[in-house]
Amino acid sequence: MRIELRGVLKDYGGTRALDHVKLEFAPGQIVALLGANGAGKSTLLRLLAGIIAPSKGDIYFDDEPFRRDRLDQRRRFMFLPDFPFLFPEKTVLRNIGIPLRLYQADDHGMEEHVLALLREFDLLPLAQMPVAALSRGQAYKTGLVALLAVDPEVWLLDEPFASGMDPHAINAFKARARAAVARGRTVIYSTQILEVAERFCDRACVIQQGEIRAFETIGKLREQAADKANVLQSLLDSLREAAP
Amino acid sequence: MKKLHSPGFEAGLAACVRTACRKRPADWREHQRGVSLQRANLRQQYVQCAGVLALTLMFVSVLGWSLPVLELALLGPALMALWSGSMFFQQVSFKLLTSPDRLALRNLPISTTKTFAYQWHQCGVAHAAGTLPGITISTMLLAHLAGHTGWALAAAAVAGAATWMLGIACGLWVALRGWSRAATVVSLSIVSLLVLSVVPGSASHVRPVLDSVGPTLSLLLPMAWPGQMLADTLRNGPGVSLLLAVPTLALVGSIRAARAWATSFELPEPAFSTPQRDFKPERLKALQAALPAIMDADVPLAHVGPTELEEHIRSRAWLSEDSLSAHGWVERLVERRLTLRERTLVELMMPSRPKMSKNWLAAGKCLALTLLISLSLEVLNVDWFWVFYIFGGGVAAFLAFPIASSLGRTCQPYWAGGATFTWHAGFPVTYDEFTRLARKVATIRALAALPLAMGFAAFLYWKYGSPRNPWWIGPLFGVKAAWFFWALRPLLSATRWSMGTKDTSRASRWESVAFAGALVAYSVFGIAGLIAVFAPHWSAVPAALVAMGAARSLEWFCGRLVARNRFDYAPSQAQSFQLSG
Repeated sequence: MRIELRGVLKDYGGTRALDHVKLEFAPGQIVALLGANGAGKSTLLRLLAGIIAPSKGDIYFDDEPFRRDRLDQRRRFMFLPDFPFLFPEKTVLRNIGIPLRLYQADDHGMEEHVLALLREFDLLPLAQMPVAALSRGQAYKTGLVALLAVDPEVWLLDEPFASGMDPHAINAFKARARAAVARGRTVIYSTQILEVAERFCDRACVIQQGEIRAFETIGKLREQAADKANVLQSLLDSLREAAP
Repeated sequence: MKKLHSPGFEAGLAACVRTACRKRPADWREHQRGVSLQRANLRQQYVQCAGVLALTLMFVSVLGWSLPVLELALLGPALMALWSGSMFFQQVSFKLLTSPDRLALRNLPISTTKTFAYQWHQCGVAHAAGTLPGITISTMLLAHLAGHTGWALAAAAVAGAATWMLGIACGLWVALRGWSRAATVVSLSIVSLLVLSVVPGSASHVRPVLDSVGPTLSLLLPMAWPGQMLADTLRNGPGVSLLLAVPTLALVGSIRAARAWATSFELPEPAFSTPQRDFKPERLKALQAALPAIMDADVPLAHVGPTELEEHIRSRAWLSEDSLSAHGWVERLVERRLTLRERTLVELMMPSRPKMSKNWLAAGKCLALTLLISLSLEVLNVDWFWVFYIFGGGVAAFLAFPIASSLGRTCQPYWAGGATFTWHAGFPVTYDEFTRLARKVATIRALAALPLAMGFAAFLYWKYGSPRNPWWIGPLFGVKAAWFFWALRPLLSATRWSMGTKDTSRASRWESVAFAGALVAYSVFGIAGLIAVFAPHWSAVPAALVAMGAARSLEWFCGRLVARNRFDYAPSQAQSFQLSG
């Protein structure tokens, strides 16, 4: 799915979180949203997820304006915030089952897929545990398994690498994301861990004070950078120095 | 560090921050934004204070402005103090047991007593700022309206403050004793106060009741004691009523004891911090008992081994919708008429098991008790026996009719890390789906409640109606009452959904438009709905159609605004603050 932001502006009271953003996310890539705290990364993700509304401008999915009352559009993406939307009183399995039903992804054969995912993310022994009894990382993995099971066209993740997941789960997620991108899915995530972003993402979107400062492939950024080893770090440092 | 809260240190730090931020315009803008957010919090307390004052004056308006009896008028501030006490109880329990502040503070090297003292201080100051001035000013105003001046007004101010403190004391003791049902009583008191205040023409009916029950209530309700002493002393000089000062002082003094007791509350270890390897099955069972956990039927628990779990997953039982049927006959009726998608939405809406059948039964018992009490009072020649019909009927209506928005958890705030969103924002669901579902549930609940409403109304018409009325007038009134609450549902659903949104700079305009629309819709529904219920025979039909049109129009209008991305799916600032503690 191609996502386009046309002159999107977002104000929170008197603060401008995003300033006339024009972007186009092509399908089949992993995009890392980078920037300082309060730069507007999470705001951009929430706008894409339809949780908040643009103050100006519009978001288009495959050239069609996004409307909240269109379930077909809404089912094409899934948003995983730092603390995923989970039913604390329900079991891990139920927390995976409900999104599957809501996304109409509960076809026959899904149970084997979920079983494999639970095994891969070490959640199988906890499948019948209420989510309220899990650690933060385990709860996040529950939300992530739901996303992987639903497998929407666009994955929107807020700080997945700072979610409390163990290294095995992080690697499993990376492998799954790579495979999904190969199938034409789009993964957009925010992060502060530049070393991982540099190796994991295809494209970096650098936001500073609500404005897009860079939206380039990692390869192109590397070509332009003086420090080839720490491309993103040096880019962010230079932007910080140049800030008014 | 001796104190957790150090105003001097904080003021010095704030001054340093201010000076540093001034040097850079961008930082200064952010700083000013923080200051204005704090001021917005203060504004909320001013509004609360004005609300207390307005409600008290509305209550007094029922008595008539000439105020012949100050004791009765002072029941207004006493009831407000009762409400204030229940609010304080909720705030303290929240801060004590569930606030994220509390969890954060327990990790600092500070004793539990000091942490509690800090929380207590924060609660007390915030609560006093919101309610104490309103209750004190109300008491002084009522004394002034009754013709008192000079030192009498100062005494009224003291009485107002004492009224507020007694509210706090009672609220605390109710909380500490664990009388959760007391909250219902408090809510009913406030609802009664509101009903007395806003129903047009209620004064002529309510006044005799207040005259009869007022003196007893003034003695039974501790919050009314200062008012009683004040009124009696102003009229007759110091007298026997001043004896009430003894229990008053004892109760105010007991706040200290309640505080000490509350300090001994132990915070439960948060379940999510328990490592998996330490998690015992019996602990899980205890947790499930404490939480409204909804487990799959006949499923193996984590400790039974991987094979059973795998079989269970392969069986797809966990992908089926939760069954409502087990919860009662009303739930069974609801379930039969829902699609599979709607049954999934019900899971999203209701965090715990629905209580429709249970509430229906409670409504039936309430009506039976009402009949028993009212008829007994009538036999005993008590003039105001009819009050129990209104009160009991009202409580039964609240229980049996679909009065709540039915969206339950859907529009509640959910903390998703760094921000609070409305719960439904995390799932692919639409406004139209929820309102349609709410209407369906309302229809079935209203139909289920119809026999109760018709039976009660039929009895009242048979017993007290004119003999010239045809037999069907009573049951018809019951149908009209059920219709009224059913027709109200779209208005309530739209309002509930709107409350789960937050305006942005763009949306604030739309917020105003939505508010204006809601105002018009509620006014039209109120007028046309009352005409429909009380107008004789067929003339009610056009009024009913107008009322339903108004309700559905607002529902449709809000739906259009939501669909066109006019609002953020984030709760109001007040809700967010409440959640974040």
